[in-house]
Amino acid sequence: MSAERPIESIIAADIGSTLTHACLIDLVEGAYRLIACAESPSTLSEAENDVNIGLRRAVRRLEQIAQRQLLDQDGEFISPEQDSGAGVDALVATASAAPPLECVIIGLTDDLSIESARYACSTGNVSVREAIALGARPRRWDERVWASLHDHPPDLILLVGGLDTGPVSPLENAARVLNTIYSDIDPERRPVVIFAGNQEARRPVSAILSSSFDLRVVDNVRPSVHIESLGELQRELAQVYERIKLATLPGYRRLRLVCGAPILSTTTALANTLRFIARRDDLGQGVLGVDVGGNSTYIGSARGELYQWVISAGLGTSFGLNHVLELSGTENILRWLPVSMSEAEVNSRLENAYLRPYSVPQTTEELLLTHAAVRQALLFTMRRMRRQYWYRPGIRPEEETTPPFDLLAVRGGLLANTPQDGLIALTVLDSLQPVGLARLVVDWASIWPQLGALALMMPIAAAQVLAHDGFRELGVLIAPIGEARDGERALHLTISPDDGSPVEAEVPAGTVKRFPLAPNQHATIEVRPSRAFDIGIGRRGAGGKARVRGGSLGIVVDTRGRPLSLPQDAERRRAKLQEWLRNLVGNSKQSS
Amino acid sequence: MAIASSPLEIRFSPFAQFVRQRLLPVPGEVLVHVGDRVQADDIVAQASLEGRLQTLDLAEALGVSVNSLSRRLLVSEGQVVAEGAPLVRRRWPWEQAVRSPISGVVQGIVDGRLVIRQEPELLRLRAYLPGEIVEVYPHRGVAIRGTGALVRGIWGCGEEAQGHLMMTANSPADVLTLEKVSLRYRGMVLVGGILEDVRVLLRARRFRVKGLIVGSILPGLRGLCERYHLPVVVTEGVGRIPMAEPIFELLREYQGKLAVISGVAQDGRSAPEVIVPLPDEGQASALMVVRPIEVGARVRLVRPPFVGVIGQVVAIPMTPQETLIGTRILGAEVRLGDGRRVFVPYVNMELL
Repeated sequence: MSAERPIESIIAADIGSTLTHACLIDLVEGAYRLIACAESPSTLSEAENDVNIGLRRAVRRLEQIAQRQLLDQDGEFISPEQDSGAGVDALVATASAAPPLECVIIGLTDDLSIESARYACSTGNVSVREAIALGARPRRWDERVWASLHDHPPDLILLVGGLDTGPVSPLENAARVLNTIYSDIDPERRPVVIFAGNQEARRPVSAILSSSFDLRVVDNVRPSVHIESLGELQRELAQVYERIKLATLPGYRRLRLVCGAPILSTTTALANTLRFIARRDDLGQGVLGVDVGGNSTYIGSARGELYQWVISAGLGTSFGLNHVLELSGTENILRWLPVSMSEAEVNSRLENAYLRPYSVPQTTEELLLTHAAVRQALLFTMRRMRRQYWYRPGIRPEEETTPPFDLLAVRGGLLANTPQDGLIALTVLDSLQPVGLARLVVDWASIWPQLGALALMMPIAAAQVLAHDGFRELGVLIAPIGEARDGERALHLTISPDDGSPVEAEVPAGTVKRFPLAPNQHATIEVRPSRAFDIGIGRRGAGGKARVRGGSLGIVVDTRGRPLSLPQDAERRRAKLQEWLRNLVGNSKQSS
Repeated sequence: MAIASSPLEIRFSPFAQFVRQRLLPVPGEVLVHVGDRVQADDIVAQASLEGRLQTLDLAEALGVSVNSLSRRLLVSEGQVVAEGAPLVRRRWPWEQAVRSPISGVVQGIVDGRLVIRQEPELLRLRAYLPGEIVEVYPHRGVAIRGTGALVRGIWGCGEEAQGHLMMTANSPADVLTLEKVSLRYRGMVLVGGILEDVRVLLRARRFRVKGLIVGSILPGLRGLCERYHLPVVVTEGVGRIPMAEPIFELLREYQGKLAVISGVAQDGRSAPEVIVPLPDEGQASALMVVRPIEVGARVRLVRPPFVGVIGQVVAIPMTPQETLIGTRILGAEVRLGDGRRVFVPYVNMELL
């Protein structure tokens, strides 16, 4: 597309594994605004097998909504925008539709370098097929490993190991073994090799591998026992994914030709947006962003300049549903259901949803079941976040809590299309288990990643759209840490709206309640917890005041304690889940 | 006539013309030409596949250090060795040699281990479908055009096979029980209703049944199916869902005819299928797997509360409509068999 005149109108698209979203952005009274958004199933399966087909269907839908011609008769984008108003000046795109990189980690010891390599992989679209710890000498190269590496070459081999002053020969041997395994395989089928081990071994390893492999050398992930250095490897993994996975999406080349900027992976672009939100709003405790996609689940936290993230490749709401079921077990999904359902029924329904990944829940039971699976995907991903970034020595895993955040920003096709905001909030509370006071917003238009990509080209346009149209405000969550018997007083809440009379309420322990405060309405709230609860200040019984903004749900108070534990008895558990759901879903309305 | 903007995939076709690519996994030799007629069993291309790798820990077998192994080696990289040929020998304290268990080529010697690659194997690629060669991809394979009836499964496993179709169910809701699989079905492709018992798979394999076509299977059986290397095609899904009546009737009509079955889902997303090859008398039109949906179309509904239900499209609203749970989405109004008229999202229906 041409960029000779100022860019005023943009189509921003995100190609997901299940859905393709397209948003139309244009100048309205001097500011960039979101005009319309539409979605269509992605077209990656054999019958059509070209991402451009799904994108054009979504854009055709945009045409109907916006009453504006965007494609010509041949289905090509009209660009630049015509005097008649047809077409747009630019197209930006992000994509997460490509499968994850399949990786084999080869290292010396399980507990140091391989663990660090695993952490790095968990921040990329990488699925670790196997980790081979060689020990001091590569005696673990058994026949099965040889055959597996040779017969099914992974996309990537990550060679790690050795402190920077450690021995070189085990890594040299490993490099020679790789050379031998792949010596008779067509160079195009050989995996990319990233060496992230002992710096002393860089030169000999490169000498052995560089003529046979696409070899990348990055910083040692474990230069010493107490230092971990993942940054370079993480960047390299992202680049390899974009180069060898995104670029092989069917129709990628054609899409790239019409885009005004490089096609970023959805997670990279989303990270840009989350960082921007944390900086723009000067959020001291930062943003916790969540993206539950069809085939991956992403959690990222932005605090100041610090950005930490984890991707659970293969866990999601459509293609990733099967993996959620395998990883969690039926009983762990079943425990989140407020309705009675047999294990066989849960399995049938989830397996059928997996087999028809583009289909959507049509009954309340199905919706609740899918949200139960989402909780499990998020719990698993949060566990990895805690282990990787928020680990506190001496705390048992089951006692771990989430650090406080100012903003919880959630997105993903299923969450954005859930009509009951109360259900979204309950899923977030159950799985992320936030503490303290946080705003909850949803990417209702599925536009945050595209804005992250647009920001590289037109930061003002991205910032204006995000500020005006990017969020659906669900409200404010108040979640104290503590434990008390159900029904005992947990906290006293006073809500003083700017334009109304104060409301006072006692909230008992062990429940979830909401108090209305309309979107765009502001209030001062005062929270006085009982001695058993800490509202995130770090002291039990200490109260505080805060200025808050309302949302479709208003103010939601969760006094169930952290970490959340559910009743063991199935009947009691279901009754509790029904009560919490009833309290939140009630008559809540969406604000958009 | 109203046509929806979102086309849908079709699940079966009584008679159509379709093209299937047959490609070698590695470059090789194509044995046919454009215009040739082939049968399902004909070889259309062949390639030499790398032999299997075998590693031998010579240092351990001989009880010597890795460093001292090199001076005891009797072979070198790239050398062809015969089965039984000595690879390494030591003379002290007693004479001992390690011999090659296979014939092949020494691919490398690393860290005390010797790697031998077996002789290459010849891979012969069959046509799979009777028809005409319409395209040759040099060194890679061919495209074959055939005609017949097609059933696309929602899930499948196992590879390709062919055999005569045999009904084991009287109605789509019948269960494919152990007793229904007997030795007289050897070499046939069985059509059942619902697969509930894993022993059916074992028995079918033992009696050399060529494949199974079922409406649905119980949850948890998919993983077991994959272990038995028996082609299985499931048309509806998981649970106790009867095979769609039109598909069941189509298969019944062709009982006794030769069918090709492929449970392979190549990338995890393409459908497994059953094809009953039929002669082309010039009437077959090219199959459109994705077709626009229009009023009057017969559709199968795939999500509760209507899973497995067949209905007819009676209206196509141009704007998103509200579902039972409040989601607004594009879809069609469908009349069910009991006369009810319901709104169903396009993504929750398939064309029959």
